[in-house]
Amino acid sequence: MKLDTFDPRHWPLQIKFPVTVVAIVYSVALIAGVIAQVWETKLVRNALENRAQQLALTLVLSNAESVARMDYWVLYANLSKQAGVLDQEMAPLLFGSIVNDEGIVLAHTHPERQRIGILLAELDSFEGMYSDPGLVVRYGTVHGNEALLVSAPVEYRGKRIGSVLLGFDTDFIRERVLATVIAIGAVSTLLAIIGSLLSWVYSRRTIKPIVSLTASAEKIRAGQLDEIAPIQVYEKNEIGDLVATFNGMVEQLKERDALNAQLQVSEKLAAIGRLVSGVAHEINNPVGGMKNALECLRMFSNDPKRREESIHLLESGLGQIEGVVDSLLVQHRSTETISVCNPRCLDDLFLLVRHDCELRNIRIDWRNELGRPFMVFRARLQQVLINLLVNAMHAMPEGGTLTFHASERDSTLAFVVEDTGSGMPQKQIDRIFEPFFTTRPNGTGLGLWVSMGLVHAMGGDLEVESEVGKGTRFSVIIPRIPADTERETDMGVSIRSEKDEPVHH
Amino acid sequence: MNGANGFFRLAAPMCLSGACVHMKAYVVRLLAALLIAGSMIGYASAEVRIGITQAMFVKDSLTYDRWAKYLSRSMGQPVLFVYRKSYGEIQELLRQGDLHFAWTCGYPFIKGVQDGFLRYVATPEIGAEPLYRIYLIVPASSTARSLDDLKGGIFAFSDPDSASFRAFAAGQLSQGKPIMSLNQWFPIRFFTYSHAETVKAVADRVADGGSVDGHVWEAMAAILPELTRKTRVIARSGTYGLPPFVASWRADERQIAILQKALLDMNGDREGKSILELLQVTRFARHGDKLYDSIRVDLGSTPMWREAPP
Repeated sequence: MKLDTFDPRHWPLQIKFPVTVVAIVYSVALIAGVIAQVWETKLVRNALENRAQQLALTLVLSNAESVARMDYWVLYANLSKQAGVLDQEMAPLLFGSIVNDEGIVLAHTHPERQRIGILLAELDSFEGMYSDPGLVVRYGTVHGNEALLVSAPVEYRGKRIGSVLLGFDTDFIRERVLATVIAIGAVSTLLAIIGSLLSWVYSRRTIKPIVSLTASAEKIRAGQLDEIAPIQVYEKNEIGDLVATFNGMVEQLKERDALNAQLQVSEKLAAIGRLVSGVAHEINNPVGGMKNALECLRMFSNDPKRREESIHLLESGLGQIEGVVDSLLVQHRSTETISVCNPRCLDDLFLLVRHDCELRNIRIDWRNELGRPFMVFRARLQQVLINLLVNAMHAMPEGGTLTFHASERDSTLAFVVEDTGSGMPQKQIDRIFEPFFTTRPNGTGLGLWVSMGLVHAMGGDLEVESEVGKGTRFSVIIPRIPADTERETDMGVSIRSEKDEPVHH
Repeated sequence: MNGANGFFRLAAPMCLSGACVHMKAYVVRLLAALLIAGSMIGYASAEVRIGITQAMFVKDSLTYDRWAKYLSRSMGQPVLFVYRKSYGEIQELLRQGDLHFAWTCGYPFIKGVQDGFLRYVATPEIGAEPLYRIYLIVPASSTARSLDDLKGGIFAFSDPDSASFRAFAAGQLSQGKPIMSLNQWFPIRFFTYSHAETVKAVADRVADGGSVDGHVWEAMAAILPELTRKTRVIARSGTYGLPPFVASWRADERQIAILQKALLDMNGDREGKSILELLQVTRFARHGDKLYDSIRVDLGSTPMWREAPP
């Protein structure tokens, strides 16, 4: 997995999930840390204040008489005993002192640095508190460091005779809170690591089918349906459902492909069957006539007139058979070279169809927009266009309009032949380019099949559009051949130049 | 910081055998013992009441329980140890006849003899001697070399009625020059009522100096060297008789003889020897009150300050 960008929207889910988990864990930890800090500080301070007050009161109660008697040793013993009982972790005592009403030390927890009988060194810190008649708890500073200060008056027989003065180190609060925060940080880091690992593993597991889906979809697009193996489903959840559905879809696609292939084979076989039966039929007809003629010739061999007739009939039958075979072989014979064609050569076609159109009451809309000579397989083009024009005429037995439109674009030449006849249903359109398909009683069904072959041989395309009741439109689009190109046709397709007669349906 | 834990810790290892009892437990037992003792006063006149103080190095109540049982057996009479904080209090009980006997200091003994209500019973011996010296100790960090250097400082005494205090007053720790005005010398001073506590007061530097029973200091040096190492001995007095067993006017000659015999016979049997060992005493012997003449001398040459126990 690679981070392509810093934009999180582009991150892979396998990164996004763990990152999200880490972010959530740390956000929670941050909030918890802040709350813990505030809360812990408050709690620890309260506990310290309570403990401090408690110690001060205990010392006041247990030492009043000793203060009155100035019993230094008992005071010191009590003070160090109480300080020793103190949980130094919960309330670290900086110093504790019992002083008389003038602030002279009677006992101190640190006799090595504070002698008895002199003023308490920390007395300044208790400024204002020390003279207060009640117990005072206050945060102040001792030698520049923050401390909790407690002052409690010692009374004996109703008279104030001294004070218990205590100073507690508050640094430990910060340390303790810091320790809590560090603990929270450590725990949440651990959680984040575990969480991100788990979510990484989980997201890998979750996303793996999706990655496979993408790869498979890519193969479908590339048409490599066969290479797709069913994707493993790990979990029965939304993604599992998706994968299962996808697997099902791939299975169906494969089945359909197989079915299509089968269908294509059957269609081809059917087309071949039709071709064979067409050929058989076309040959059978003249063969029947020729058999009769031969019979006639045998019977009336002495009658020169009958003999002539029979021979003519035989010739005519052979001619028909030859015509069928020629048409079938049209795509596989002869060579034709490209030649320059003047746009006017197309107008010859107009002359060819004009007479017939007049007879059939067909109006001709002839638009030849080609302005300059072009390179073309002239004979092929002419035959294709004649086929289309004749077809169009035959499509309008009741008359109509025949439109011919020739135009050129950057790299193609377009020829459109349109009639206003009865049009064709889709079923018919699907078959019109098959050999021997015809709707006319005397048609061979080879015209359009041949035309399609010729257009393809020129590297072009033949398209048909038709609407029942409105008419049909055939478009021939062939690539322009650059004018300076003088090349041999290599397409192996030609039309016998001497036989300019169009192939009729 | 040496808190109360240190304070207790000091007491706990003081017992020399394995029979150590924590100070707290000791206090509880002591209070219980005192309650029982109090309730017995008046009607249990058959029991022999012996006064002791905390000035003794050994504070283990179990040892005293064992000793009481032992003495009860050997004397054929129930024996009860009565505990008081100071020699002054014990002296008062002796004077009033509340106690038959007491294990007290040589100084109150001499005073009691002079006042005619105390008689000699026996003296413990440590090593082969019934004698001890008073030590003048200062904190290890102190630069003081003599008592003179401590003048004006803070001083810790064990008991105002102890020989150690009187020896100090008599100049035993100051080349024989008696201390004429205690206030002048030590405007700030206090009594710990225990030699061990005095050592601690000096070790903790609450006091600039203190006077203690030499035997106690030596015993502590053996058991609690970390504490005595914080102190330094800068002067030693002449010898004094060790604290004697004394009899009040309440005890008759027969009782004195019985107790004397019981004490002297202690190292004759296993239990007695074991108790002596716990008390850090070799044996009890009869030395007579001549042993305490050095105190009489001090008394004669000492200014009698009114240093009453608080």
